[in-house]
Amino acid sequence: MNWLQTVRMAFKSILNNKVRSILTMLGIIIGVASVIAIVSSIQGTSKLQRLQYEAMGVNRIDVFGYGGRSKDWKDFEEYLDTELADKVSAWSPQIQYYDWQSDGVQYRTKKLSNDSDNNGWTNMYFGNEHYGEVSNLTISAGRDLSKADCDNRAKVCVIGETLRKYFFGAMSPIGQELRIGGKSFEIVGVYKGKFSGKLNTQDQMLVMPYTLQSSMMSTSYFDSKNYIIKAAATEDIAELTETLLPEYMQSRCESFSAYSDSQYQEQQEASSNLLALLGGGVAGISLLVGGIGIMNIMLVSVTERTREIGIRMAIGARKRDIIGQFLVEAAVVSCCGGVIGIIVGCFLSAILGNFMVARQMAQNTYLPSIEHFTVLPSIGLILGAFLFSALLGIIFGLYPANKASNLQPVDALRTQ
Amino acid sequence: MFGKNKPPIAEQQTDYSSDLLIDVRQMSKIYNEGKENEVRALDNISLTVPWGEFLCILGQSGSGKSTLMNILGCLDIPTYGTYYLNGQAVSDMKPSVLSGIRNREIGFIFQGFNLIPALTALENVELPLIYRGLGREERHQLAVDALTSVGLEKRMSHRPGEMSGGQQQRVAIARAVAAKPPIIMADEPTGNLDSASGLDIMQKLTALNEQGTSIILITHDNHLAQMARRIVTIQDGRIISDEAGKGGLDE
Repeated sequence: MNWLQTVRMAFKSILNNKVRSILTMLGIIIGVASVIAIVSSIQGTSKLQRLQYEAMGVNRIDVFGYGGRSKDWKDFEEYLDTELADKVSAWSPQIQYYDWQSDGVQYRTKKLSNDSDNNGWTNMYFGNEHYGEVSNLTISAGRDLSKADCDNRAKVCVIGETLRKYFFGAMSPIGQELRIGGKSFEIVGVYKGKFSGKLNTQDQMLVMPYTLQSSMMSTSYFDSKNYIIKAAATEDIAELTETLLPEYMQSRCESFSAYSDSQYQEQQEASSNLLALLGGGVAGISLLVGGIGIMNIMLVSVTERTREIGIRMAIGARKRDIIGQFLVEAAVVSCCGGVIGIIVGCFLSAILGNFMVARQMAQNTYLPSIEHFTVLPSIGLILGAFLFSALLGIIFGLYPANKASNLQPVDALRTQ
Repeated sequence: MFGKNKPPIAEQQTDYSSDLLIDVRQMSKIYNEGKENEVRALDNISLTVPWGEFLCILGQSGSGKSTLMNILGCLDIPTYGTYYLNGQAVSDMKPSVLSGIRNREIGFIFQGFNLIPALTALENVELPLIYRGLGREERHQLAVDALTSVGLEKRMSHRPGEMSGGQQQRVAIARAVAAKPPIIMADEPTGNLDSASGLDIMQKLTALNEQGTSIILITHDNHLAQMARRIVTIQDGRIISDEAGKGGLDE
């Protein structure tokens, strides 16, 4: 008897006992659906967090130092460019421009003040031509800062989405002049917003060439230095923050720190993976219970159909035909349950996962918002759940199937 | 003949290498042997049946006739003695080989019809052909032919529960003959039927025998037994007479 025929027979026998089959499947459906919903929700929030951190800059390391000599910092930059060249893919200074007198940014007569509680603070940074790259900012209009801008001390700036929205609306900001600290700056580009250009977010920023720093700020602020460093690979981050960077610079300044969110994020991911494993395990127990349900029903079915088994044997069914029949029946029940469970699980994870995602986004307002993020189970999870339920059917179908096939035809025929 | 490979039915010629279809030597079937409740269902029976015979095994309830048929039909194995089916010792065969013999060589007709209730008449008839490994079209054709030959061409999609006893037994006959086995074993085939339906079934068996099929009929009914060409009477597990039948019924 061929395999396809066995599967067809199994479907027929399942359809003959609809209510019973559905109730049996229910155990598998609930098990598979809850495994998928729980695991994918946890994975989804973890993925969201990763995306949020990546939006801040992939492999980003923030360096802060205080009290070093200018020459030492020059050497540090040299060190990044030469000895660490294969571990550091880009770096930029990030020096905040404190400007108490000029009171924020002005375009023609419109002003965005820094002292107003409503408008929040405009972060004005001095950076180099890599600033956009290291902080994962992409240009939405115009161009980024260039090396020539820095070398020529050009009075240009690239503005964040909030400033563009606030000052220009539908108009193009490129080529317009902003007044910052009493000086005119030409806008050469706009960074794409990560917070939809809202006030009071990290989109409220602009970047100017770092070479203008000395002409804009009094020297007292020079003592503190900030850098953003982009590591070449995630694996390099720990080495850079723990040894390579501090060992070089720590002794040359009063305080030095190198810190990466991705390390924190790795810990978070590890703990959420553990959580997913735990949650999946608990849900997996319900799958096991579902499997035992299958075994139970198959045993009842064997008893009920003893005569049928006898008839089949009398007309030529071999032992393996009978085993095949009951095994395939159990596997079909559990696979059907598995497929339905996967569908239900996808819906559940969309609901549960997106609820968790919304909650997390609302909690972590300091992280950029990720638009159009939907929690869906991964292909691996779906495949795994399906294979597991199929396996469950086979394992728990084995005993009843074997029991059926070991009946003597004459004994089985005698049963009423 | 009883090999593992299953050639298509058209090529599957029965091997008449042995003159004797059935050769039973000193066979006993004993239940609970050595215990207080020991039952000698068959006691030292010897019997030979040539090809093409219409044999009736006649006996009262409890005489051991059904046990004999179960053994002859390879559904059960004897406790002692040997059983040669077409020259081959059945007692030495593995269960899977016995399944093959039941499938290819023997068609069963039971008193209780023994159809599978969840399957339609056509599916019931197709079932042994499925186990034989025939392709869909071939087995469909064979099943339709068999059902047509018993006059049920219009009831093929009915389930056993939707048919009368006589019709169910005709389905069972169709199932037994669909693959044209050389032997038909019928255990009280008319036992659950009214006399008209019973007669109809008996006529079908006679017709099959005339076409060359060996038939072994088991019954307790003296009158019915006369349809056979040979009557073996069994009592308390022993053969008490072996005589010629009339080969037809007195009307």
